[in-house]
Amino acid sequence: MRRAMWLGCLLAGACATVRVPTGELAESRAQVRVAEQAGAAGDADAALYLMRARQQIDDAQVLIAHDRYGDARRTLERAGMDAKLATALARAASARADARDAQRQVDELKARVR
Amino acid sequence: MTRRILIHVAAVALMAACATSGTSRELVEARATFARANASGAPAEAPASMAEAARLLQAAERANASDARSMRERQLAYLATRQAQIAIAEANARVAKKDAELARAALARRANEALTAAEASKAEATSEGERRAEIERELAETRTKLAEKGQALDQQTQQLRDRETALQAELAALRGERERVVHERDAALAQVKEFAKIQEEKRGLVITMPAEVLFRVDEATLLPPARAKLEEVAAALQKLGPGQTFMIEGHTDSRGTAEYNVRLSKARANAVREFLISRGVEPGKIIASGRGEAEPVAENTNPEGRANNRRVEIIVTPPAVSVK
Repeated sequence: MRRAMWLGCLLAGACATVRVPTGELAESRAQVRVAEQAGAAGDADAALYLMRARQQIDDAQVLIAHDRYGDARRTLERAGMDAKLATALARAASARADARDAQRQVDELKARVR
Repeated sequence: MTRRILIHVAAVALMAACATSGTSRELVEARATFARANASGAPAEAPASMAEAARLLQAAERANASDARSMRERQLAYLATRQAQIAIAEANARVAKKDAELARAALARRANEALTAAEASKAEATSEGERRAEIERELAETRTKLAEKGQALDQQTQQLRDRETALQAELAALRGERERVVHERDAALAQVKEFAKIQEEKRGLVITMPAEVLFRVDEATLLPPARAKLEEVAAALQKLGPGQTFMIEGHTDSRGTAEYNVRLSKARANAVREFLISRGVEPGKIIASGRGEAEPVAENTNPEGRANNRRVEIIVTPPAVSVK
């Protein structure tokens, strides 16, 4: 049944529901790694979306196991965006910490000069 | 570009709102989040992400318009929400980066200022140190010079002291010499004092002898006893030292004519002079003069006075002190 569908997909050109979303799975896993490397686990807001991303990847794997590729694909798409958001939030937190640090140095210098 | 997309999305949203089928909660959330992102600094700081969020929201609105609350609409709305959140986060990150850059620039500026100030004060300290060293060198030189001058002055002082000591010794010697001379003179004159009056006057040492002792009345010839006495006078005069000059003055009383008295007194003075020359006094050093009655020493109105006026004076003048 699946093979027939697959062949049909090839001919029809609409293969989304039939193809195993291995690419999308790899892509979203990669995005999660980027988020981890950006330090998402260390920031509260970022960690939330990192967790969501991981959860949705797990959900997608279950869906794949049940041949629900379309749902899996959409789930993985959401997971990827969650991971990107986690990355952006982690980077923002890091930049704010850096700015606070620089400002602290300026304040210290001002205090010393006075 | 973003503003145009916003207006377009708003138009589509308005259309969708008018649709009777409704809106998924995902789409509602997407609109709200997009509006929030738009109101923040995201359009300025993260334009690319905002454009992507607008595109996704637009797609979600179209999906809503064609098939309200469909899976497609909800998926696209979800993605749009996340994208809008990413835009906000990126904008925050960029603003924070700018702040950090400003702070670091200020730090660098201050550090530079501090470094420049430190270098300036170091240079000042160095130049001040150099000035100080210069002043100390001059001071040391001046000290050395002063020390040398001090030494020279000490030497001078010592020399002066030595000279003073020598002069004092000379003075003492001279005083001693003078005393000796005076003593000798006194000793020499002691004998003469037996028969003559000796007096130190302004005009010199004056030895006065009465005329009676030397001459007969009205005569200018020395009596034999007078010679003996004049011998002693001559000896004494020798003892007075070399270079003395002698003035012999003859005086009479007022009896007789003035002319006669002058002649007599002059003759008598000459007699004494000649005798003294014969006894060794240098002729060039001895002068005789007759004063007559012109210089009495007493009143001629009584015999005593007249006797006193009849006299011969020998005035001894010491040699003139020549200033060499």
